[in-house]
This record gives sequence, C-alpha cells and structure tokens, in this order.
Amino acid sequence: MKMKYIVTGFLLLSLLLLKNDLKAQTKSEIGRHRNIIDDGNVKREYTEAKNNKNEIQVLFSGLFLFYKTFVSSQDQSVCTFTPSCSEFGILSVKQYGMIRGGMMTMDRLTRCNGLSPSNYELEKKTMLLKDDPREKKYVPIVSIVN
Amino acid sequence: MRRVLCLILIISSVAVHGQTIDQTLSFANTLFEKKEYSNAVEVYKRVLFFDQNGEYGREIYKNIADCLYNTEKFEDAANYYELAFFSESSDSVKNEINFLKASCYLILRQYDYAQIELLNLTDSLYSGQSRKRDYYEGMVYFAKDEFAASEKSFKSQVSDTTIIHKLFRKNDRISRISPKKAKILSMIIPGLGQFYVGDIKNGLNSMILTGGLFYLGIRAGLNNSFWEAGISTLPWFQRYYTGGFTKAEKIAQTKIKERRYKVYNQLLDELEKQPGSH
Amino acid sequence: MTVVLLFPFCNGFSQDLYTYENSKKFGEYLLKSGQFDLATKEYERLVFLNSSNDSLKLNLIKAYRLSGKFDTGLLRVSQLYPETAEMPFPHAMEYSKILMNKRSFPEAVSFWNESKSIPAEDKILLKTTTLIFDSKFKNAQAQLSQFGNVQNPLAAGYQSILDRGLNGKKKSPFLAAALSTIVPGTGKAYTKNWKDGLISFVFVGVMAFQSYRMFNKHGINDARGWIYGTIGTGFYIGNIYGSAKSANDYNRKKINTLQHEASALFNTYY
Repeated sequence: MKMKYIVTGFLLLSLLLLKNDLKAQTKSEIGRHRNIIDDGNVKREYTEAKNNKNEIQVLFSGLFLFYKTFVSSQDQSVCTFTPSCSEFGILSVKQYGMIRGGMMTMDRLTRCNGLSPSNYELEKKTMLLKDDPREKKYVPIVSIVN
Repeated sequence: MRRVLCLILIISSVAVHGQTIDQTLSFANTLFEKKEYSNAVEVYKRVLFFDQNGEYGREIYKNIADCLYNTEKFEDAANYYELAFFSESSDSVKNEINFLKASCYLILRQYDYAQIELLNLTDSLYSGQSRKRDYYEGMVYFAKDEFAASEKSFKSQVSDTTIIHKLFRKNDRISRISPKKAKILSMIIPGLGQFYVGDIKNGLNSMILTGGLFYLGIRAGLNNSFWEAGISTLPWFQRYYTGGFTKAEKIAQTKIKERRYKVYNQLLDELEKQPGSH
Repeated sequence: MTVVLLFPFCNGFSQDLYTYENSKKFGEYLLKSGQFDLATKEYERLVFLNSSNDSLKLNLIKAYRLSGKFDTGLLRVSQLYPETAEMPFPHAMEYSKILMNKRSFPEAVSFWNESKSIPAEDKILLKTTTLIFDSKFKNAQAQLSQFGNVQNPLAAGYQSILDRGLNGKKKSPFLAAALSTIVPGTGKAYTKNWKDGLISFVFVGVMAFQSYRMFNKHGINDARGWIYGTIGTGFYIGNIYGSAKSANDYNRKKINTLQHEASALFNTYY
C-alpha cells in the first residue's frame, strides 16, 4: 500500500517538475549577442489571406494581397484601427460571408475617421484602436484578485 | 529518458526523506550543475525562504541569476546579479558579475545600462577580463552608433585587424546612406529615392502608381475640366505621392539597419574565429 | 522584489526544509507573494503528504485558479472530491469561481443545484451573478426576487444594477436602421455617434452626387456613373448595418458597465 503511494508520488512530482524545461541549451557568449541590434526586418506575413475555403474567399484574398503588396505598401499608415480596414475586410468576409462581411467593411471604412476614439479600446503597443471582427465582446467576469 | 528517470529519483528521494537547509542547497547545486535551471531556481528559492540569518544569500544569488540568465529571463537575472554583486567581496567575481549584467542589458537592448555596468569594472582587470571588456565595449559602442570607439575595441581583440578594418569601412559607407536624401529624391520624382537605396521593387511600384494617377488626372482634366480632375484624382495622387516619399525615407532607414546588422554579425564572426574566443 | 518579500517570513522553524510544517509555511508564502505556479506544486506535494486536510486542498484549488490553470483546477477538484455536491463551502466557492471564470455557466448552475454545502441564499446570489454576467437581466430579476433578505449588501447592489439595466433607456437597432435608410447617418446620430453619422452622410452624399453628375453629363451608359453609384450604394447599405450595430453597441456598453459593477460587488462580497 505504501509502495503505491510512493509510486504515485514519483509520477506526480516528476510530471509537475519536468514539464517546465529540460532544454536549457547552452549558447556561446558570442551567439547570445547576435541580436542585440535591430535587424531592420519589417516584413509581415499575411496569415489573413491563408486557408481559403471557397472561390469567393480565394478571390477576396487575392484582392487583399494585391492591395497590400502594390497599393497599401505605397501609402502612409493612415488607418486608425488594428486590424487595419483591409485586414478587417478579408477577415469579416471570411467569417460572415460576402454580403454581411461586405456591409461590415463598408461601415468600417466610414468609421475609420479617428473622430470617436472613446468608442474603442486602445492597443498601447501600436497606439491604434482595437476593432476586430473575430472578437466576441465578453465582459471580464470574476476578476482574478483574491 | 535516462536523465528524466534520474531526476525523478533525485527529486522524489528528497521529497520523501526531507532535507536540512545544507542538503537542500547541495541538491539545488546538483540541479544547477546538471543544467536543470528552472528546477534549480525553485529549490534555491526554498533555501532563501528558510535562510533565517541570511547566511546563504551570498552563495545563492549568483546561481539564481545564472539560472534565470540561462532560461532567458534577462530582466529577473539582472536583478539577481545586482544582489549578487553587493553580497560579493572578491573584485574578480564582481567584474564577472558586471559582465553578465552588461550582457543582460545588451540583450534587453538597454545600451546605456550596459555601458554603466562596464564603467563599474575595477581599474585593474584580471586575466582574460580586459579582453572581455573590449568585447562588451565593442558591442555597446556599436549598438550606440559610436563606431570609432567600437572599431578600437574590436581591433584590440584580434591579432590581424585587416578584416575588422574592412568591415568598419563597409560600415562607414552605410553611414553615407541618407534617409533625408531618399525623401527629397522621391519628392522630385516618385520612386527615385527608393532606387537610390536599392529598392527597385518599391521604386517601380511607387513610380507606376503615382504616374498612373497623374496620367488619369491629366486626361480627365483635358477631356472634361481640371476642377473635376482635381476632386476625383488629386486626393488619391496626393495620398500616394506623399506616401511614396515618406516610405522612401523609411526604406532608407530600414536598409541602414539591415546592413548594419549584417556588418555587426560579420564582426562577431571574426571574433568567433579567434583562438580562445568567448 | 521577491527577495525583499522573502525576509519577513523567515522566522522560527526547524532545520528540515521539506517537513510538512515547513512546506506549509513555504506554500503560504508562495501563495501570498503571487508565485501561483510554484504554489500549485507546493500544495500538490502537501496534499500528497496529507490527503485528509481540507485547508490544504482549498489552497491548492485556489492556486490553480489564480495561476489561470482552470482546467487542471477542475480536474483536481473532481479527483479530490469525487462527490462534488459534498464539497465544503469554501471549496465549493473556489470551484464556482473557476467555472464562472471559464464562463461555464450551465455547469455552474447544475453544480449549485446539487451542492449541499452552499446555503440556499448564496445559491440565489450566485445564480443571479451568472445571469447578470450572461446579460440575461430579466431572468436575473426573477432569480433575485426569490431572495428574502433585503439587508444583504450584495442583493441590494444587484437590485440596483438590475433596476438600472431593465429600466434604463435603450436604443432600438431597428429604429436606427430605419432612420439611416431614410437619411444616411441619422441612425448613428440617434445612437449618439453623430460624428460617424456625419461622415457616413458625407460619404454617401458625395458618391450619390458624383454618380448623378456623371449620368447627367455622359448618359446612362457611362461607366464612371455606375462606379460611383455602386460605391455609394455600398456605403449606404453599410451605413444601415452600421447604425443597427451602433445601437447594439450603445446598449451593450451600458450593460457592460453594469456587469463590471456586479463583478466588483461580487469580488468584495465573496
């Protein structure tokens, strides 16, 4: 009986303690300092345009990528939101279909005026207003305090 | 797998049999030596908690900091190095701690703090430490764009300075790229600034886009009225024209960063080739 | 910071750091100093050493909740108390909080229905809370009206929240959409988003005007007229949708404020 407890103990403790990290890789002292300055790489992958499920999504993703590569790339960053209007467009069309997604996007374009910042949450890192079609608007519940 | 089993045995033997503070410490040290850093931190923290007279702190702080450093928690590591520094009496060890702290701050890209750590080194350095100081100073100066000082530090670490010299000349040429010039060039002819910094794709893109809008505007103006052309195409032309030259400036800044990063890593490659490199 | 926190706790203990008593002290310290992940490990060990102590189990569940490992927490509860209905009150509260954090409202309600340790009054309060969180104010009112004690601060607070939620003026999405159908932008103005409304009006107006002008000048077969017309129609329809959404947002924001208030009341009470 006691043996059984000890074995359970082994397993429990090992599970708890080992899942952290055993990797602890040793980098050379020089290797550690290779990225201490900015590499200037600003390329971004457009995941929004991936995993298309039908022809309409392929078409809109193509338009989106064309716009991002050849038009938006030549623009100043003018959109007041994150995700930006074009990203919002492709995301909402994918999630809600062409008709509702289209309406949402047209509405979003008129809202992209920066006049009512109090209507949205601010993303501090980019200083852009949050407006994501994927997000369900839940309230924080029992807060984690005590 | 054998490592995992071994660890299970060690930990559970501790848990089942219990340990004094000294035994716990030596257990933590065993984990530390086995490079089980995050497990070691947990055990060290336990020792610190039960260390009522503060006798063990001196011994432990540096190890905790090393564990955190090796698990890439550099901010916490820097704080524990601070504690280790003040509980340490040997100058040689203090210098080593300063180097590690400088390393933390460099990785966190807080270059000024890193520099302060290097200024805190004692005047007389121990064997190998002066080369290490050059190594860290070279990096700090490079990161802070103080290239002449960086060159000096890098050169003092190698026996043959020709390659280092060449790399710093290459770096000087990067300094000649002017974001402002790129901007002005693109103001004169859209796309020109992008060509100047070597970004053909964006240069052509900007040229065709603004050129196309310009053509549309002129055509509409000739066919209808210029007032109409003004309200229909001018806003778009203006948007991508100003977008073009602000982008040209940004592209230039990015190119500078990209090339500097490359040169910097080539410098480190050179150091790595040195016998007895870090 | 952590190190500074360590010292006040260092007093009188025996030498063996892994004894039950010492582990308990260390576990308490970890929980108090916010190192919840480490605390879960310590309490797992303690519960293993003494599987009959309820206060250790309570701290274990709490540590799982505070470290955000809700699923592990629920799993451990079901292992420690196979008869969940029999769980002591504090444990039942911890379990409830985990379920509420996960928004597993149906599970929470069926747990409260069965629980033998939670008093009937608390059950009503808990159910009211979840209904408020779930934006079902009418059901919440029905639930709360079963509560007898008017002196109870939480019940009184909830009553005030529900009064405001049920009687407060709402904006009708249908009216907003209808207004915007007649005059673009007015629906948004009605929901107090007059700036967005004005922009919509200008967008639709300019496009309609341009389209009209093009058709007028170049006839019905002119492509530009159709392009402006299509874009304008897009903005027009988008704005009708946006006005209804704006009304819903307006209502939701009011409810959100009340839900935050309820959340704060709940946390101070329990």
